[in-house]
Amino acid sequence: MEWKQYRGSLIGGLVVISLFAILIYNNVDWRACLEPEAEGFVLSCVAENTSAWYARYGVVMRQATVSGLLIGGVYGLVALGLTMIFGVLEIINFAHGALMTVGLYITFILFDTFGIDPYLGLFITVPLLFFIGLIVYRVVIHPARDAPHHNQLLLTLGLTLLIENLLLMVFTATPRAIRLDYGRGETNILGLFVMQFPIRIWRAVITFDKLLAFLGALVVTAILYTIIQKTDLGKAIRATAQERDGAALVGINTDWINMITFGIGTACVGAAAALVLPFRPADPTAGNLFNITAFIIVVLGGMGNAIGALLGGLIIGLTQELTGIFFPGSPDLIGVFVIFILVLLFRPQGLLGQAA
Amino acid sequence: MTISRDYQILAGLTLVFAILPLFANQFQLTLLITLLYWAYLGTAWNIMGGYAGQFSFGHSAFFGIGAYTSTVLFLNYGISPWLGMFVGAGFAALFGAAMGFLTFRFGVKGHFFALATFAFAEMSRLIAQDSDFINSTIGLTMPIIGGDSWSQMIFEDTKLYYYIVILGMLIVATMISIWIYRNKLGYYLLAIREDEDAAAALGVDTLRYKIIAVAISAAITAIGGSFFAQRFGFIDPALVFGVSISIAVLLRPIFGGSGAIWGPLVGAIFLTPMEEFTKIFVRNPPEFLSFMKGRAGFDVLLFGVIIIIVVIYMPDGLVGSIPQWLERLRRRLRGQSQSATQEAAR
Amino acid sequence: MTLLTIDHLTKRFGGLIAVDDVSFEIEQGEVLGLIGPNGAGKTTLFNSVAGTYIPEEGQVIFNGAAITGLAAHDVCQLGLVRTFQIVKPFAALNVLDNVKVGAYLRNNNSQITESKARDIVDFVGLGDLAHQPAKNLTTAGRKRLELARALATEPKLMLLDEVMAGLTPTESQQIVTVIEQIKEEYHLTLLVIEHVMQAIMSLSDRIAVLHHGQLIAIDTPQAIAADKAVIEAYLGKEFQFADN
Ligand SMILES: Nc1ncnc2c1ncn2[C@@H]1O[C@H](COP(=O)(O)OP(=O)(O)OP(=O)(O)O)[C@@H](O)[C@H]1O
Ligand SMILES: [Mg+2]
Repeated sequence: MEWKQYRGSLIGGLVVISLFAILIYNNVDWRACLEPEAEGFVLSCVAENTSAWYARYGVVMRQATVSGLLIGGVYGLVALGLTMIFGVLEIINFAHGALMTVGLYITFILFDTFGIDPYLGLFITVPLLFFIGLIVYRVVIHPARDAPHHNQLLLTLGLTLLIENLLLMVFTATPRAIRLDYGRGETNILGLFVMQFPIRIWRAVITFDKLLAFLGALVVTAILYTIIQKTDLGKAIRATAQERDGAALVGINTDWINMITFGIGTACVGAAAALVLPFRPADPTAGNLFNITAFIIVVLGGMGNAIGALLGGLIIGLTQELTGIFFPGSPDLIGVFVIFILVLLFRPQGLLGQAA
Repeated sequence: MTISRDYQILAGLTLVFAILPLFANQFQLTLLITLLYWAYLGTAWNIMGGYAGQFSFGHSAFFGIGAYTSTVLFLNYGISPWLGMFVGAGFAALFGAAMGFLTFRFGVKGHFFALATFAFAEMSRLIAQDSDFINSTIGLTMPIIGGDSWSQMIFEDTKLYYYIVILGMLIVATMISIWIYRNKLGYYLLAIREDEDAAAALGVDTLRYKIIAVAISAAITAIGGSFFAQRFGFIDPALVFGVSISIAVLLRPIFGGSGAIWGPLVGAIFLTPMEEFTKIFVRNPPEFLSFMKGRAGFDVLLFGVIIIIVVIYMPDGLVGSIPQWLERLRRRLRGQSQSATQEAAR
Repeated sequence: MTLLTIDHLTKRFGGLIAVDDVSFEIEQGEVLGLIGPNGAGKTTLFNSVAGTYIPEEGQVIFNGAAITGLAAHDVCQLGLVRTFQIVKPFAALNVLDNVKVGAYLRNNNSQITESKARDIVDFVGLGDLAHQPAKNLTTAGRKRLELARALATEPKLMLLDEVMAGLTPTESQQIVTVIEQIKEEYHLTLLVIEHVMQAIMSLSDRIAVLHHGQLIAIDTPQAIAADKAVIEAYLGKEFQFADN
């Protein structure tokens, strides 16, 4: 494993740290300490001021940190799907987020119409999205395998418009939320023990559904990582990603691998969808946010790199929540885009670089 | 020789579009304005995305800069949009050049360049939404002047005037496009699109010419943004900096044939009426499709389908594909007649 | 007069030294052949001279001016042009337009450029195909197109990278004739990479031999053919006569 693979994450990490720094700098009253009549040493004055600020606003920062990390896990999972597809097919699948939206609506229907719990529904959503992925690959992606890159981008863009607006026509723009009847107050965990939700760690609030989303994303990522690293299928996928012609030469059906990879990548967003629906209502464009963040994470974390995807996910989650403090109100992606452009500029070769 | 032929076509088309409004009712006139407007924006995109092959997925940045610059100058300083739109064009060109320099300098290429343009556009939208001096998310509204004013480019009564303005803009943009295509700049841009290394080896300063392409495309697009603000009378960040503008701008040239002079116009001639008719269709669907009544999204859905079909079946667009189809048809016909004569001979 | 001086040039790729401390000179009007086994570093040397790569060490002096590290387009502007081993036609443009791209380097006027390009297209023997898209050309046609485009930039020195590779003996012979004509008519200096021995022997005034990135010999064709080090460098790999 080369450190170069993690250069993007490093840049991202630096941005996060500077966000923290700016946050503290902007809120602590330094200048008062430089006034002649300031009491005591400058340093102790600053320390005092800082701790006073921290006592007042620290909780906001800690909450942002915790929320950022939690949602970051899910971002990482979505990005893992995207990075696999990119690694093997060299296609930037712009429809990744739209497919996640499909997953959200499937989870919603399962819950709303059939009363199936979303977490239990994972066992339906994930295979279903896998098959949708296979079909999408066959019908839309495969015929344009040899088209120029930007045309493939365009293709998945067209697919996005198709999916989004189909959903808009069928379900309208009204957000569809579900409400779990557990996970607040005393909650029995699989009959093993009882926990109080929301949890408070470090005085930050962690709700049941977000915690579960985070843990679920980690579990799915781990499973996928094992599949990629340990199984024959995983080896074939990695071989195809690294050296398509060579893989074909040793008898790997690369076309088949393409299709399976697209299916697995799509299954990832199926899992992510089921995990986030309890706190992120479905609407026809709900997947967009995950789509954009996934791109950036893929750029950050390196191609086909599961650990990079997770790391990138956490960084992007943090960045997003922290910039949320700077620009309160709308879910703000400015910081995320800044990272994106920085990384694009400073390690474009890493984008095209080694897979798996 | 060839130069004059392009301009002959342009002159003919100008004549047609000059006569058309004489026979158009209000609805058709609106349709025509929309058509020319998209052809104009597509022509702008085509210089960068088609000629130079630098696929932009973020033209809304230039569009929004144009719309906001002329509108702010007009509302806050009373500067006529006729002047303001050129200021906006200048800003957009600068922005585009800076963006181009950053990305090209660091070797961002292909679909990563497309994503970068997208990121820049989204960033400008987010910044606009957070900027109070341009009214953040609330947007800006043109005053109601109760009539037509050429100096303010606001025509509340006579839509024909907008038609004249946009027709003029399209003619100028097309002339620029033709000029580029038939001169050194165009040859260099096409060379860059086809193979950058080969172009550089033949003395083409690829960085410089790519930046020039972005700047020209950005400037023309920005003027389109100003026109939008004048005609629509209202702008906000989501409207003018949004992804939908970026998509709509590239749709016509891609459909008509990117990299061809007439691609954007051909694309607009096909797609704009289609878009309008699907809107009408959804407003009043036939009995068996009544569930679609009033449902938003069908028009854009169709765009999605069109994009997919275009990429898979006619990657060169209409202008590029029709000759190929004709050729194939001719060959098939000839093949049939040949086999027919063979049959007869036997 | 010395047109090109390559002075202790070194280009590395990570641990691999692709061009290793190479020095030689090319005289005005000369044809210098550059040979060496596959992977010897010939193309890398071209790339380091013509601005595609920046060499780690050494200097390149062209026509009295240091051009080390200049961008490819600036090098071309000064009159040093190269062709590509793996041909790079502008596939969608027709033959004439391909050549016009090169011809625009020396003027901005479309008429002049057009007639100049037309002459060169005829000169290299692609006149009948002038309005064919470059992607329709055969390998031999594409090699000729590479020549034509480079020629259109009005160079003083041309670096030709295996313009005969992949051609039949007859086609190779025709290209040799074209190159000789180019030399005559345009008074060019040439640096020619070639595997086809017969061709390079007859074409060159002198031949330089590269092996593992190092210049192991530079001399007249006859002397090179008899040079022991050169023959050793090619051991295990037969001299390729005519065919390739
Ligand atoms: N961009 C590159 N990155 C890393 N290594 C390279 C690069 N280009 C060339 N090399 C290596 O440098 C060495 C010299 O390659 P080069 O292409 O210059 O050889 P050549 O003499 O032109 O061979 P051929 O006759 O096959 O064309 C080879 O070992 C090659 O693998
Ligand atoms: Mg070589």
